[in-house]
Formats: sequence, structure tokens, C-alpha cells
Amino acid sequence: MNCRDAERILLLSWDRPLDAAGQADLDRHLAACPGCRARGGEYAALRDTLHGLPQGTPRPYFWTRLNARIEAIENPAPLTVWRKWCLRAIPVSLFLIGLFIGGLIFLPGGGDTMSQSEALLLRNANPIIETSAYLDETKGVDKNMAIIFAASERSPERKPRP
Amino acid sequence: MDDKSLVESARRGDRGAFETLVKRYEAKVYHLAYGFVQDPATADDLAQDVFVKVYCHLSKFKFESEFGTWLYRIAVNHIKDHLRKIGRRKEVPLQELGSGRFAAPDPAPGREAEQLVEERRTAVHKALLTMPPKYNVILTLRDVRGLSYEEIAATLKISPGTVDSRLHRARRQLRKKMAPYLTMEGRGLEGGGK
Repeated sequence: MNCRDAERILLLSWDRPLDAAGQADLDRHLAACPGCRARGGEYAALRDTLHGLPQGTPRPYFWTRLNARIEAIENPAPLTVWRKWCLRAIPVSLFLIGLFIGGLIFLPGGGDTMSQSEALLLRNANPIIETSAYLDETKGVDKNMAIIFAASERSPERKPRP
Repeated sequence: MDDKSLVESARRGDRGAFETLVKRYEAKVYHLAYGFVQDPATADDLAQDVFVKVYCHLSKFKFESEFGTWLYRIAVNHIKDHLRKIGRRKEVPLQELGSGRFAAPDPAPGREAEQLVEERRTAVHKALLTMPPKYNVILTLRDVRGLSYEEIAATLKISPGTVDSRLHRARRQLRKKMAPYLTMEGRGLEGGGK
């Protein structure tokens, strides 16, 4: 039997009785090995201390206090229920508000600008009539000039290149 | 009335039956909790929490084991959760484990002896709290509470073989943690090795 086995068997012997041969082997090893004897003493000291740890005394009125807690669980006060629902509603409301604000910020605009043709159509006017006046010009130069002026009028943000 | 009948009555809403069960087991659960936390107020709170849990989950008890075993399992799990929550597993410096007097070969008589024993207990308890929960639990169930292998196996839902090996590792680890405070002087095997 080596020291490792002796340690294991020694600890096991505290929980289950060893057979005669096993006990004799252990005793022989311990008699010959001062290290294992010392280790056994340390284990015994620890075990005695663990055994001696106080168990404590239960506090009085255990059931009375427990019963009150059970009552509170089974019949919660209306205010408690209301408060519980409010607490649950807070994160949901915050989520919905966030979703709404996010939608306002990130969703594309609904096309608040209208093209000239759309504006004419909205007024039941024919958008072609205005254009056809330019296209009906007989002289090519006048026609081109009219188109250029018309284009510059419709898109004021476009500036001619120098 | 046996536990099974009481559980069945309690399930049907008989508060008196549940009261009888509580009174039958309150001391055991309290002592179990106290064994872990060594504090009366915390042990009382934990015991109350355990019985509230038991009351709420009574319908889930399937009579596959003894009621006491089921209750113990709930208690152990709840206490383990508590120990995890409060983070008591953080390493305790060796200096805090005790004053180094653990190894005194023969305690002086009287008041000083009591003080010495108390210091030893505090040191061992602090060392226990620094151990992984599975080792803390098995040492507390076996060496503090004195449960049998079979009871521990049923409570923790592990095999007796696992109880054996885990207990061995736990004892070795505890000895290692307490090494600075242990000496061989005056403590031969006759001090406890039976």
C-alpha cells in the first residue's frame, strides 16, 4: 500500500468500516509511515472541527411568519397587484416610445415636395400645354433658348457652370 | 399521519397539513442552512424561502422520492444559489482564515480553550466558503450534518460512487486550504482515525 492509497482508505474508513484485512494493511502502513500518520491527524482535526460546527437554534414563530408570507402570495393586496402591473408596463411603454421615435427619425419622408407636373395635375391642368408652347416654336434657336430659360426657371438650385 | 398523506392534503389546500409538514421539517432545514451560512438570521431567511418554494411547487412533487429528500434537494439548491449570489466563493486571504492557532496541540483549559475552539471553527468555516459549491455542499452534508452516503446521493441526485470520490477530493482540498494551520503535533491518528 502506498501513501496515496493509505490516504484514500483512511478517509473511506471514517464513512464505512473496513474489512479486517484492509484495516490491518492500513494500520501497518500508518505504523511505518510518519507522514501518513501526521496527515491522518490533520484530517481528524478537521473532521472534529466540522462535526463541532454549531447547529444553531431555529427562531420562534417560524410557522406564523411563514404563513404570513404564504398569505401574501396567495392573496396579494390590490395595490401590490397594481404596482406589479405598472412595473411591467414601464419597459413595454419605453420600448413602444423608442420604436415610435426611431420610426420618425429613420423612416424616409412621405414626399412633401411636388414636381411641377404633379402640381399641374393636382390642379386638373394639363402639364403638356406649357411644354408644348416651347416645342411649337418654329425657329430652332428660339426653341432652344426657350427650353434653356424654362429649365433654369424650374430648377433654381442648378447654377450654370462658369 | 405520514408525509404522503399530508402532501396530498396540502395540495388540496389544507393549510393545516402544510403546517404539520413545516413543523416536522423546519428544524432540519434551518440546521442545514445554518451549517452553510453560520448566521441565524440568514439561516432563518433561507429556511423560510425554502418552505415558500416548497409550497408553490407542491403540485410538482411526484412522489418519486421521499418528501424529506425532495425538500432537502430544494433546500440545498436554494442555499447554493444564495452562496453564489452573495459571491462568498471569493478567495479569502489565508491570514483571514484564522489566527494561526488552529494547530495548538492542547487547548488551554477554560475560557481560552473555548476561544481557541471558536477560532478553529471560524477558520474552517471560512475555508469551506472559499471552496467550490459542490465540495462545500458535500462536506457540509456529510461532515457537518452527518447524512449517510445514500441520503447525500438521493439529495444531490448523484451516485454513491460519485459521493465517495467527491467527498475524498473535498476533504483533500479542505486540508490543503488549512495546511498552514495544521500540524502533526499532538494529533496522531488516535485523535480521530477510527
